[in-house]
Amino acid sequence: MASHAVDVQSLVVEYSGTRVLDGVTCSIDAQNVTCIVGTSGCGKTTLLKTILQLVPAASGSIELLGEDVIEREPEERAELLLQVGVLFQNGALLNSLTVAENIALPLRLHTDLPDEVIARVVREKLEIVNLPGAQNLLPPELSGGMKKRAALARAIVLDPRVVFFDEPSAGLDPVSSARLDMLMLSLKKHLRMTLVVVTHKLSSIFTVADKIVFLDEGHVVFDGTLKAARASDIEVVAHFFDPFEERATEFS
Amino acid sequence: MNGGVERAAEITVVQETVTVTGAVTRDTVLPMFRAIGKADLSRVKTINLERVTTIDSAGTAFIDVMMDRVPGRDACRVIAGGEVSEMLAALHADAGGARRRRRPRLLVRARKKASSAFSILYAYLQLSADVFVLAFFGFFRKMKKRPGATWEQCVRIGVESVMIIGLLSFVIGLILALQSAAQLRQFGANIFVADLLAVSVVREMGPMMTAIIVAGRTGSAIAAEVATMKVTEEMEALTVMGLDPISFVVVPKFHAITLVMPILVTLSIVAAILGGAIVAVNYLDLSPVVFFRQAFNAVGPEEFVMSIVKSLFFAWTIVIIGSFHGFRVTGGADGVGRVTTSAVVASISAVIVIDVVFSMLYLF
Repeated sequence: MASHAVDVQSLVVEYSGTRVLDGVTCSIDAQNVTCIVGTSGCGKTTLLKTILQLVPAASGSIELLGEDVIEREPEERAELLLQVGVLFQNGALLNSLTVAENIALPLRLHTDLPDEVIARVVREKLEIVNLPGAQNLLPPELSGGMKKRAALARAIVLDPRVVFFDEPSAGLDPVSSARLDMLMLSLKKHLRMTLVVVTHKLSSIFTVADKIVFLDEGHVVFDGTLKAARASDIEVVAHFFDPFEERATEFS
Repeated sequence: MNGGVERAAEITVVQETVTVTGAVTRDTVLPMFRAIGKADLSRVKTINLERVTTIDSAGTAFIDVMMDRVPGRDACRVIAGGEVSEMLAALHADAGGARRRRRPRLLVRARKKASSAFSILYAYLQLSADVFVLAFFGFFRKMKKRPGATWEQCVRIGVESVMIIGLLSFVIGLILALQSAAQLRQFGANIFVADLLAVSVVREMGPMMTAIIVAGRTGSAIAAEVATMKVTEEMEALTVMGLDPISFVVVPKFHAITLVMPILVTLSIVAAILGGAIVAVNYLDLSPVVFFRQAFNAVGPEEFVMSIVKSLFFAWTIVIIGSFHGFRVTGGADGVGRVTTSAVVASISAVIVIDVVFSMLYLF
């Protein structure tokens, strides 16, 4: 495995003429948890979606697992993306399918496994995400936390090498959020997955992050370890990691 | 000039200076706003707020608007006392930068509109091509789509429409026969009600009524489903799982509507003729055998085939327009509602336009 699971070089992304990412260069270490952080609207989700080629890049290059995703043909890219799992912000489970059907979907479409084996894999994945017995429920019948865990089960059903998380804590209570953090750490430790987490929730960052990529107004202003990020004297980074102290000083 | 409720605030323009006094709040801004609308601000270089006693968000916005109307805003000096100055800074920190954007000129706007219309047309044609190609190959090779999806859609689009299409077509047949019977009876041409009904129902009313009902039921459902899947990131999830959203979501609907539309149109035609038969038998005293024989003689098989072909064009248009509008959704729930409405309107309009084209083909 490449030491970098993802390598982004001079990436530029524009939406209707507005530059959202402006020359972003960063790397994601393999078998580590990298948090892409920054304030709302700084381009975190756009970076994630551009890596997955859900959003086209205006210029720059992206290597995912050693392969250039931008230059690849769509069919080759789809093959490459089978080694990637994504947990979207709202789970993105297909509402017309049960939890089990959702999780089984990638297996049914990309493998020739018999139904019995697929059912067993689905059960295993549901065990991993602590959702045993939820197979026959429809997504609207699940709570926010359960939806995310079911979506995570679907994201890891093909045993991907890299899993992307888009705002995993959004809309979750602290307990469900902490449970999801523990799941991430478990995936990293036991399944040796590379995790890329887009978030701005400090408690999650402090729990799971090995590395921080900090975005501000479409630029990477910090790329380093969590420890270094917390000690950083870059104003926006320092302000992000210690916001309450800053506010207290401002109003005293 | 005098502005303000109960003279709480006053604005005067003397040569190069605008002086505002009193409380500049949401209660006093309107008269002052009207006053500066009539005043000549072309020579103003100073706005004096020293005698302003209170200012709120509406007041700071008013000052900002006034500064926008002063030529050479950057050179304009604002004199304000400590408290008002702080309020101006706190409530309207970006006052200096809040310039009014000049509206682009007519030609620029027209060019933008035209280019946007072309890009919409291009996107529509691209989606149509994708759907046709994927749907065509889908018949001949195993596609990455959910097993049973086409059958499920056949039930939703076809079986669930049977009652409404049957009932409405029956009633329309009844009405058509009643309306024409009253006229034909005067000339002793009762028997021709069968011809009139058969020709109008087979050529026009059957396919048209079916298409309009399907556009209302299915077109809106397709647009809403695709749009909801898009706003909830389900489409992106499909892409990441290596699935093409068009193959997975749109093609089963396309196959299903292709299969069920001819059946629905046939049902509509039969129901309408039955409705007409009831009038003919009970009101015009025609025997059922004579009525049906006359009706079958009035239209040939080629007209029925043409009608089915036309209905297929209607069906494909409804699916493609519904999907197209669904894929173009922006925003959240309100966006879904908007594209659903526009999909239904566009589908029905397109159905009528296609009908005109086919009617002209009948002529030649």
